[in-house]
Amino acid sequence: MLEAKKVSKTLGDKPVLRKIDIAIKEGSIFGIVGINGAGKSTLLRVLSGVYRPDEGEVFLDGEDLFRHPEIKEGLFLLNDDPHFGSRWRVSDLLSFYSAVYPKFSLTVFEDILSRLKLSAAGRLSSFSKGMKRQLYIAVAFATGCRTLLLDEAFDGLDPLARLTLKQILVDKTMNEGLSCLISSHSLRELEDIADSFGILDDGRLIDYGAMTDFEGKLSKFQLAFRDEVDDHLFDGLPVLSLRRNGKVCEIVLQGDAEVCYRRLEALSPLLIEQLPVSFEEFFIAEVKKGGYRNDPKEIL
Amino acid sequence: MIQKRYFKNYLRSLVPLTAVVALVFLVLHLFEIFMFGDYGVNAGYYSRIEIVDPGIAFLLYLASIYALFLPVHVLRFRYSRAQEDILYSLPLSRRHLILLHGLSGYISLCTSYTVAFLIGVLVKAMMPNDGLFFANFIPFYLVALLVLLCNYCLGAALALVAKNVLDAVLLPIAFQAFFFFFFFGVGLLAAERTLSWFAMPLLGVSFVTAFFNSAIGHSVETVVESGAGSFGDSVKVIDHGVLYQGYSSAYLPAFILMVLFAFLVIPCLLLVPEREKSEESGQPSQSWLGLRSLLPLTLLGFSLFLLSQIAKDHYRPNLLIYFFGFVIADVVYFVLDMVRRRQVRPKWENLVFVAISLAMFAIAAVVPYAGEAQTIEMLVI
Repeated sequence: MLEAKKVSKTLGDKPVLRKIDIAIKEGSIFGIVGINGAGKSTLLRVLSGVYRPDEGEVFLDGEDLFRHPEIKEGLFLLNDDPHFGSRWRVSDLLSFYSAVYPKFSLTVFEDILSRLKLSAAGRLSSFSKGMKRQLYIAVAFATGCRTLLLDEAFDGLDPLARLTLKQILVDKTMNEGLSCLISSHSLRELEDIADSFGILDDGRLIDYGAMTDFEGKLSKFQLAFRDEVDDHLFDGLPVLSLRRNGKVCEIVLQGDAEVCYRRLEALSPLLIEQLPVSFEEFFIAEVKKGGYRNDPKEIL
Repeated sequence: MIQKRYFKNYLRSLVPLTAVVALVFLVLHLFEIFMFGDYGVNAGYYSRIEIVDPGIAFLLYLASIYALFLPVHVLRFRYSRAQEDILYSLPLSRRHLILLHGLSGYISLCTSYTVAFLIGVLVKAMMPNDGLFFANFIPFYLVALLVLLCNYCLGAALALVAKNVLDAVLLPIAFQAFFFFFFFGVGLLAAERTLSWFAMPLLGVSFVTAFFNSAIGHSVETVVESGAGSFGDSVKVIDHGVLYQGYSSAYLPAFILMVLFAFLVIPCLLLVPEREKSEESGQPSQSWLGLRSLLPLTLLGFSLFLLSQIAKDHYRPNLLIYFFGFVIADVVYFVLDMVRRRQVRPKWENLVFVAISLAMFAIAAVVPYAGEAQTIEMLVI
């Protein structure tokens, strides 16, 4: 299990992580989300031992990561843009990682590549961004590490590769007990595979829990009215987002669905229908509470 | 075990560099041998007291300069955040990483040097060489590896202090330049002679090469007396070279400094991996321990050098030329510091150091002639 306790990190003058507590259990996929600059990559760097935390500690299987760096044999960080030399070949990459990860398996590497339908040979510089990403993902699995930290895991992957990656991740976590922390802006992808989540905002973990938990925290409705929807119709309600189209509107409210339903009913709509809330909507609502610089209503 | 495998892998990755550098060393060394090599004993009165130059200095200087900069290459992962993401997340401690890279670099350096050196010796053996005592190439080679280690350690210490590539490249230059100019100035002011040759660490190489020039290249006198061959004879030759010529021993202070500065790598190795903030890699360094202090010190050293030139110019010094020297030095300092900080706006410290530099010019140029109209004339002219 990878665990961070009260981890804080300041870069320059800016506090990027503030007293983060996080635990990634065995056989779990933890999705970490946040707007740009929220501290996701910094958190992954701290969890992998690249950055020393200013405060707090990081443990892998109960051992302090910074006192016992050798335990990182079971931990792999795939950052958003790994930088190897322009002359590096795939064979160099393999010999590099096989030298430091004793459980490195060429069979697993080739298996992942074949599932991703990628033939890897030649210089890394000749690979496209997506191909490189797939290659590094194959390396990550081939290291045999029990804990993977994937920064922007789906970035640059085509839809088919995304699907394959999701299948591999689910397969490995369920069958081999792999634990994985994924930071991503692809919230729909995370929603598909992650069993738990954490939302980072301004260096704080503003919400976290099981992936099923978020649905009870807000509710979404489609409403139809006799007349055009007035600007002030929903005043007094905990509106997180509102999309109007003449007499019809879609509204996301904070709170329990039944309570919200009754309050909306009091507005005498012609039609009221509850819709499922997506993780993306939940994320935007959470970030909005923290005072996002743009209006999430517009994003929705 | 992981360390061993990583070390082997990294060492293997240095093979192309090692080969290229060995080739460059060899080409330049052979060029020197064929252009300037003359290892035969010439008869005649003057040759009796001359030492035959065995052509060992150039290659060792070349390799020593390379040794100062090679650590920048092997430790360059410290200057790139992306590289640190890869290396610092590996199951290796930072100290191990630095040590393994450092050791690999030294092996690469020694290999390149050895290839060029051995082929050079073979070539010399095939040329007319009755002035060379080949057995002493062996102790020289072993000492040369230590000299390279000293310079490599100093380079490594400076590379560990640096936070980005520019700092890492400029630090060894500024370090050597400071000693050169500062002791040139101090020596000239104090004793009418330059001390640079004695105090610039890199010139410690000359202590060794001059010493072994005597050991490998026999003096004609000794050859005539005893013939080449025994170690005892070579010791005599060494004594002869050191005591009577005094050439090698003149470089002893530089050699001592070179050795002492090599030990700087130890505190750097102890402190840097524990204290360094990897998030600062590639960023301009704000620490006084580095170029921030070494650049102004070099400026002041150079200013002292110019000051000593004015002070000891027994003819009428052209102050305008010297003034331009000071201004150019100030501008170079300011530009380098601006590049180092990646900011155009000057800082208070820039102004202070430039002011001190110009004050040194004023002291040298104006004070001795205070009250004399000719000062103004000289400046105008």
